[in-house]
Amino acid sequence: MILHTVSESPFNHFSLQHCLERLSDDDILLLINDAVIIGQSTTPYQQALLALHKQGRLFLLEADLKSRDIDTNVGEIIDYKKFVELAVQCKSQIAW
Amino acid sequence: MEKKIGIINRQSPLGSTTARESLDLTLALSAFNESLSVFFIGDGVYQLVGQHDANLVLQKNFQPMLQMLALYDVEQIYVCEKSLQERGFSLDQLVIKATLLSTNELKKQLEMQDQLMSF
Repeated sequence: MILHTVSESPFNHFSLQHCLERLSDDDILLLINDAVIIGQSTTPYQQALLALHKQGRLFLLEADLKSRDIDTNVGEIIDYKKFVELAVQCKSQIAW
Repeated sequence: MEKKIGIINRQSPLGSTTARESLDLTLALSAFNESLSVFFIGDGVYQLVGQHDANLVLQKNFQPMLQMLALYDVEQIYVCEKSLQERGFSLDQLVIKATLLSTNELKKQLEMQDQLMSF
């Protein structure tokens, strides 16, 4: 089980696409920094994100959402403490 | 004759310090130049929407400083309509008064500037 973190805006970078293409069936995706924009914008990856959401494998960092005044339609909103828990729970981590 | 200067903002507000630096430069330049135009393109439009709380990510909250643009007589503020629509926002959601430009109008405006600075 790998914890994938995506930190770049989906409009300027391909990090989300690169990550989703390499996500295994039990991996977890956490959106941080500018990538929290993904939660409220319509990207071509909506279906993939919705599937992850339903499986409880999509998370967004609360501080990054709130500081940008952004809402999310998908995923679970978590704090730094839960971020650490996810990191511990996963065997390794990839920062995209 | 005074040069027409255009400042282009393309970065999101809190992912880097670029947006803050651009605003600092714009306010400083306004003291010397009365033909300033400010453009918000791409993720730059995120600088103008919502009520940011930069303290949550240990940064200084510079969004209220956008209101200073009007006080400093920087009134030519242009927002790319396409960028705004792509991100699901409309003109009435912007925190400052701005003019929407279509892609073609934007090209013309950019062409009119003597000097451009991109952030």
